[in-house]
Amino acid sequence: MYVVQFSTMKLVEYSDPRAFDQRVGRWLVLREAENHFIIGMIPEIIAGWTGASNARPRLFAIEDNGTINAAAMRLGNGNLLITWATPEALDVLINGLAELNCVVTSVFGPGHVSGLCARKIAERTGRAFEVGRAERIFQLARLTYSPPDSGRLEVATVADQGFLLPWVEGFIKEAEYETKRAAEVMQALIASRRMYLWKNPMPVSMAAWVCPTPHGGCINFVYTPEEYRGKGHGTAVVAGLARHLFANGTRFCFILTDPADHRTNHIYQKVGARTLCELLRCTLAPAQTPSRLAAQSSSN
Amino acid sequence: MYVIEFPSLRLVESKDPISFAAVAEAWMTQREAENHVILSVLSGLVAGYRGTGACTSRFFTLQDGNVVAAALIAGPRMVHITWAALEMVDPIVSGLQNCGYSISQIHGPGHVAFFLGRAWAERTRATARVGNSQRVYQLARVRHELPEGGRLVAAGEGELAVAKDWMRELVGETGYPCEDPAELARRHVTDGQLHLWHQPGPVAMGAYVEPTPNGISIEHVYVPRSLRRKGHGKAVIAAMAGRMLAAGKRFCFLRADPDDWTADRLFQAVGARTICEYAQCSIVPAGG
Repeated sequence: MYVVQFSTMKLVEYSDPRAFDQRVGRWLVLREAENHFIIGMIPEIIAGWTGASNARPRLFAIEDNGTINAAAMRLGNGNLLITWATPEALDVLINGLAELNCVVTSVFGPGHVSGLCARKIAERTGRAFEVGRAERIFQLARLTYSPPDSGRLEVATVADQGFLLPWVEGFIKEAEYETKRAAEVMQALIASRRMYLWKNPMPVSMAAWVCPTPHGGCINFVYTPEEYRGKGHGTAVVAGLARHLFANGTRFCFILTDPADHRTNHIYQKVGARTLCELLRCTLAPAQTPSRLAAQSSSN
Repeated sequence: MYVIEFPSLRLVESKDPISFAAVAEAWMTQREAENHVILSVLSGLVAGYRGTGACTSRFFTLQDGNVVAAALIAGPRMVHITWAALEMVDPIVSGLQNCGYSISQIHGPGHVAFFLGRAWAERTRATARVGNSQRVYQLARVRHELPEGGRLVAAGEGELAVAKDWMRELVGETGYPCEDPAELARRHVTDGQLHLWHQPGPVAMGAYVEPTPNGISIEHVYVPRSLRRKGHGKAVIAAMAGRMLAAGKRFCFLRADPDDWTADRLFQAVGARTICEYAQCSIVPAGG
């Protein structure tokens, strides 16, 4: 017997970010930790929508008879942020992007989705792609570790900037964080009261709370200077900050790590965090450039 | 900040596994790796129901116009559940209680099991205890070159003794819940699921279990102590996954204790990526 199935999926572009927020945002928050990197962009996009139209992000959903299957954002720099999507939904997205002449320079999303999406775009356009850095997301909803009574969590202030700047620089270097503007990042986190210190009694470790979602937020910038390592201060600052967030109504925190970094993975599991998913960035080589990434691409 | 409301959420019971599959299987298959356990349980129940016309399990979907979560109660009050958002936990608990069901175990994505267990325990004055968890990986593209001179062999009667010995060792080392490892090995050999990596003799084993529409799990991966650190674990996984992918499966699933750093590194080395973490939550009645 033949089964002939016609896909009714289609790519829907939202020209108004508020409409995207109202319809797709609600769908995104069903898996808010997994989709936090898209959810976190929405307020910024709405606020900055008055800029030049050619630099504006383009907002998409892949819908099937009114049901959202996947969502994506193509930012002005060509980065494509994408949610979990089936291979069929990816085909709809990639065909639609090609019809709209949307050039994609990198793809970021759940591991298998971004890998497959980059591969499909590469095959379609004859470009090479490179599999980049992966990040494992942990979700913490119940602390199984109490920070030691000998220490305490305190919000960082302007007075802490002197010793904090090298710490933020150290974090950016070790975590291969995208930004190089450590001072700017630090000042913004201090001004928004999102940077915290673990003191024992002197400051020994830092962590920040970023990217709020309806029930949670991301614990990031976790850093302990080398001279204080191996004493549990990293675990303490994560547990202390999570406890503080839970006490203020947050239902869960999520934490990003390098899947290959056993030390940080262990810290987060020790305080009670559970694996949620893995995010991956893939970079596409420019179309006109001879493919120096070809070898890497073929091995991926 | 968003205000999330699901004004029309309702728990819908399906009368048998076939009607449940009609409502929920396609939705669950969109995230096949994450839902591979419940899909596999469902597949077994459908097969059993087709044979006997009887089924004691119960089936539910949470719907908001479309399916947004699914659960089935199998065995001794064991709930297998898919991902569900926080707002969905109370409607699920209320719906199950209104149907008069009782639960003692929840198996699902870590936080869903935890939040559902806690909500159930609060309403029934019981205690929720989160137990074992497993990290789930998906392998869709093998990134490990097989060593020359090695080959993957489906274990036959001739390899049964080795398979039984290794399964006993695996259960002893990992605490895998199995009362009769030798019988488990025999069953997998008989079913043609257990495979050995030969280099040139048997050096590692693995078994295909729990097939889903587009995938299959690789479990019971074991390398004897004396043969470790030679790449045999990577070889058996890469060979088994490669065979399934070549045969048309889209992906293979792997599972490991989240604290098992060796398995974590091994799985990543062959190209697997983290999908989620499953946890089991027990409901212990007051005074229990």
